[in-house]
Amino acid sequence: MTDQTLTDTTGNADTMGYWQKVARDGPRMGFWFVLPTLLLLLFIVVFPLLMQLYLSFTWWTPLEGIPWYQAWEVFNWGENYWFMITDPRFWGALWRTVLIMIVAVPAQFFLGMALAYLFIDKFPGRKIFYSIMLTPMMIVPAVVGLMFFLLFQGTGPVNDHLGLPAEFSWLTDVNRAMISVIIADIWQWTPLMFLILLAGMLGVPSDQLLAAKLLGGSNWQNFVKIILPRMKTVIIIALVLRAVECFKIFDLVFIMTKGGPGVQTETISVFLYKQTFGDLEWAYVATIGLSILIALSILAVKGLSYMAKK
Amino acid sequence: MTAIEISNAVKRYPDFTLGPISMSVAQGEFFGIFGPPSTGKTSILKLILGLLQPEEGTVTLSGKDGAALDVAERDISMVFQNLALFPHMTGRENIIFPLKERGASEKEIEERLDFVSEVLHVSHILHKNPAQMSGGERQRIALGRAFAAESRAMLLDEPIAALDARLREEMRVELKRLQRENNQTFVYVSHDEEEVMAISDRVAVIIDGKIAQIGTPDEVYSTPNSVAVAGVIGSPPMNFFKGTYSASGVHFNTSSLPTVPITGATRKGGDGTLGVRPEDIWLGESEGNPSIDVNVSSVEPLGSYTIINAYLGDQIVKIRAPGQVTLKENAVQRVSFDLRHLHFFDDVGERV
Repeated sequence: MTDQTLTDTTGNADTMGYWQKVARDGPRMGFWFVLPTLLLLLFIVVFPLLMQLYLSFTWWTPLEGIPWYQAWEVFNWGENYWFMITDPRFWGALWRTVLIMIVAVPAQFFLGMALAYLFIDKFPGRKIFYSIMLTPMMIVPAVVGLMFFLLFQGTGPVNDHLGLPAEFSWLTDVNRAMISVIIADIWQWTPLMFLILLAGMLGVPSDQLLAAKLLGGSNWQNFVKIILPRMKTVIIIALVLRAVECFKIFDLVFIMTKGGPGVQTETISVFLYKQTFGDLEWAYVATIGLSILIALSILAVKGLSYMAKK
Repeated sequence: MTAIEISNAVKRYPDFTLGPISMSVAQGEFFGIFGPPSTGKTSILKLILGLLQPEEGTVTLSGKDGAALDVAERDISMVFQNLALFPHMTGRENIIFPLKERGASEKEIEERLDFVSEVLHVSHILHKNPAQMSGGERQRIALGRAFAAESRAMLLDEPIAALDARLREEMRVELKRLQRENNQTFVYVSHDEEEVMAISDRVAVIIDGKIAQIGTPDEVYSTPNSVAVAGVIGSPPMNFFKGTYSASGVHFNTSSLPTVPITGATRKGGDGTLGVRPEDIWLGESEGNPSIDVNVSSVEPLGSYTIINAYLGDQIVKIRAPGQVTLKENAVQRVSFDLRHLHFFDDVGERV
């Protein structure tokens, strides 16, 4: 009988039980099961990336008259990358995207935090205000863009309320166009910040807040010492989420200003759009898209490992 | 000196009215507040803390009107049922939190921390986070934090309810020692009657939002002033028999018991209730005491004493006999009542 059990463990198929066979064949069999999905993933993720990489090293455009896979005929040894690095319009678009991010995200954060703090305690009408507060983020960004496009017209309600003349333009002014876009973004996305931060704040047990209060802390001290440390994770999530979203900003800008006046509000997304459908510079677009993807990936990995260390 | 005084405080809720509450806690007293769940104990704590303002009546703290004192100015510390330790701080940071908040100097903080950690034996766990501590250690840190504040009074809201039985007994002794050695004023709230009785100098029994009785644990136990108090104090609970007082007031008649002679305070005629504690019913006859046959229904041997559930007519009677008792179920047993410890109540449940 001992011989029998020994052969079992060595994998003699005749004496193996069903589950032992599954355990032996499992990895091999599993591979065949996931293969279709794997191929599909390769096709939809890896293939476009490789295609992008390939095109970024050529002069190819749809007007070239040759199919994209023959683009090697116009291979240019990475000149696109050099062009990108020296393209002031690209750097301008990148800078404006970052500018929107570093102005709008902190503004949304502080506004959201302040509003969330107001909403901790119960007050009459809290639920109604809460619903109203959340409305902006539920509106389609394109519609928000249209709303602010109308609001900021020379003869629109904003100028009307502020008592400014119709000549005082927002969306066509070199400086104010950007301000308008940022205001629209803050209006739309402060609620999301508010929602996430409020959830984090309500997650701090009320007993701990009460304890801190009884032990003599002022509201501000308790906020800094008890609430904020406990909200750390939520704050990081909220900021990362909004920063990434902000980098992709397109609808608002496109509808409000089309990136104008000139290129004054042109963000990376709008720039890419114009390059793709206006100038048909697909190879260049591939270059920029890939570069940003790589840059952001490095930043994200660095940022995540930094957070993991903390 | 009175540390906390509540007089005629009333707070109304849509479906519940608290009060009028009148009680006073002396400086250095260990005051227990006991009541069945959801009878208003927490509301009384909130009145003291200032989280609730009474609609009528006043709360006075060391002679100062509570209405003029903000929550943070009341100088009252509290140990919560779930402790409410700050999880992102070490034991040390938790304990010195109140000192830092009020801007004490480094030297003061160190001195107070040394003193508190010595008294509570927590020096060796000060560097740990609450998550790394055992239940008992966390308990001590929470006590230490409230204690470090050197406040007017400490409120303890079922602070040891979450601990296991053995640790609970240890902490009970510890709390009492802490309170005695430092002459602190403690207000201890619990729905565990045994816990409150064991630890308090005086107990307030809260029933349906009102103070049913205030007294030492002995007073509350041996002379409960109503059926309600008698029913919640003591385990197993008191046995009650409904009946009538004789016209002369020297006898109490019930349908199930023999006529009971009354000595002392009495009523002449009218309905009433007789209460007998389980330990005042003895197995067997005893001289001078009335006796009766009961049908044993079940026996609970608990080591140092035994609880016998028996039928008297269709009413269950609980008997607590010292030591171990061997009784068969369904056996007929003669029991007698200790005439010296009978409790008489009138038709509305007030003590006669």
